[in-house]
Amino acid sequence: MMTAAQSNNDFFLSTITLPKVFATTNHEKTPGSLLHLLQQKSEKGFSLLYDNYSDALFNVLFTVVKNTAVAEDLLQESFIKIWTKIHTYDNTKGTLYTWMLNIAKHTAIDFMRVRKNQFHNQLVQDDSVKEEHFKQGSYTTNAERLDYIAVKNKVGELDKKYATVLDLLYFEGCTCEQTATLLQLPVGTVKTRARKALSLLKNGYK
Amino acid sequence: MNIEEIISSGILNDYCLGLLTNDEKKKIEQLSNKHPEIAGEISALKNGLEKYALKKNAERKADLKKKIWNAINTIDNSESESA
Repeated sequence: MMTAAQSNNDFFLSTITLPKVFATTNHEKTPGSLLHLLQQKSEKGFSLLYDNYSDALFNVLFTVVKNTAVAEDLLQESFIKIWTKIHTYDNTKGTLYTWMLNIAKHTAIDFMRVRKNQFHNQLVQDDSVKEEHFKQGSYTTNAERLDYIAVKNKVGELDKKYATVLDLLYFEGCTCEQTATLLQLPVGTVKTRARKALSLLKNGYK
Repeated sequence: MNIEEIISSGILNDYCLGLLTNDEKKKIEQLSNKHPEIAGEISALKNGLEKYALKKNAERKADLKKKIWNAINTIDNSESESA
């Protein structure tokens, strides 16, 4: 059984293993070829990059920032850096994989250094955001937080009113009380919907 | 409460969502060890939740891929405009 925190960790359901591109002898999939595609700025290069490296990079970021939404933002930042700085990569100094992991690591560390105080100041001013959980997020208001969750709620046929409650409780690690406050619902309704959501999932959304 | 009542009460759902206190959790685990029907229900609930989690993860990952590609294109375009 996954806890909420584990489910965050498992967001990309992967471990840091060497990407498949290194496990193949197919010349079309060697790192040199990926490098070539990246240097050409081709969409195929990006696609290959994302499919093979996003899990590993995400894990590096998540390990440092401990928040899915922030790690996703930083993953974007990391990919942009990789994309724009690919001409500075020197394959005599290390593998492309290590170079990219370092970019992600530094992106996360910079974020922690620069934004920590900034978040703290924002949150001190915002009385509605008192819970420790919210302090980790990149949402500045509850409305933004709900928007974010709504966008992410396209999975399956699970009715939105159940999915939203489930996502807050299970994926975002909110308590029933926090969920009730965010959704402006009675705590009892949150609990009923959470139970219903699980029963629906058990029966395959029927 | 009999087994039917426990299952229909929703407390096993709460258990799977991690909403119970440690004492409540222990009680459910004891019941689950004694009664295969309860263990089966818990396993079915977890299974549904994990399938949902997998699907959701896959969608989030695909969404993020699109979002990042769009961001990269925006940068590339603004660079080529300023060049």
